[in-house]
Amino acid sequence: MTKTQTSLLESIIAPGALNSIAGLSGMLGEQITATSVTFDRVPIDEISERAGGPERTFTGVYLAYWGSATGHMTLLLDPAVTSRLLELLIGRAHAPGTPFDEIERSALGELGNIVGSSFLNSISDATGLLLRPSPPDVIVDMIGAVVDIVAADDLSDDMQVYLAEVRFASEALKVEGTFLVVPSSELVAAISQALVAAR
Amino acid sequence: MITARPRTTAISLGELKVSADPAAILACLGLGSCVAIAAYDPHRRLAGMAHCVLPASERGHGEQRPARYVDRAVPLLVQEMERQGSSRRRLIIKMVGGARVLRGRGFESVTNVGQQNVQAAREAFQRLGLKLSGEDIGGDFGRTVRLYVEDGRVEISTIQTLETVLQ
Repeated sequence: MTKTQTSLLESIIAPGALNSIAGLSGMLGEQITATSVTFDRVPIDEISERAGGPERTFTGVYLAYWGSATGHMTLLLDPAVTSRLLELLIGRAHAPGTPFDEIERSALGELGNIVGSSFLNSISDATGLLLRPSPPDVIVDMIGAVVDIVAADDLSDDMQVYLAEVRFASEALKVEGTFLVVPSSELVAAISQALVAAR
Repeated sequence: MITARPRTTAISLGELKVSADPAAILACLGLGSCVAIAAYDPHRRLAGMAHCVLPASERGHGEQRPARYVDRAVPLLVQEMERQGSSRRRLIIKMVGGARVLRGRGFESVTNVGQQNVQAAREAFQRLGLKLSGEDIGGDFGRTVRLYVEDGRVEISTIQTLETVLQ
């Protein structure tokens, strides 16, 4: 893929990633700022490395998406931030080291839903592609285990993936996190086709 | 006596490494549905490990990292151990990983890659006449596995447990 094609894709994916953070702000009722947005083709191992190494523990709210194309999205939250967000969403913090109860799981899932749907809506609006999210799954585990979900898709021979990464933070709420989107080659091709058709 | 500090060599997705350095530790970090296949020759103090992602290769795929596929990684691991002076009959084989991390509603029909990886490994062991000496597989949680070249010890950790030795 040429630099021009990559930057065309970025012109669709980056606003989608920003829209996902706007969705998060709407849900929390406070301004959340996207501190960085990147879109690259990277070796799959780099997803874990960027997050602090494959053994680092995160709360991951995972969603797949289906329709005109498939792919993966994950909202990655540090355990302390997860607890803080639950305090904001349901009025009580999570006890560290204990499993989430049904209400906590549902609140975090809804957070993932909002972020993921906001991203997909933005891509659909820009390209006309029909994309729908899966139900969210809340995972507390090493990031490497979450990356395996992506790796289990038959990757290209060079084991590289497209990765959109948006880091966000709110000083007022004392929260920060990362939203990762791994668009499949299928989605990248579909976006490219939609862009060509729109010219 | 001065002893060398252990050196951890991380084995990435689809990689295979063999080491005879007694101070080395071969490690697969944060395994989910992937499986780690560990081989150890106590006579030569030679250790090898593969980090496998998918059960089987399709024709023409995986040439850059063949160990990504269980069906290719197991014979390659044995071959590399033998090339470095080991004998197949001395190999102590252990397998770790193969979890199903997604358990939520809506993912029931998603293929259980972890289970398929484990099954592919069992079939490969059988084809090559290898005996599996220990395993820690399945579940819905990630694992880190470390293989110590010094003595063949295999340690496993999860976010719930500190290192446990796989017998």
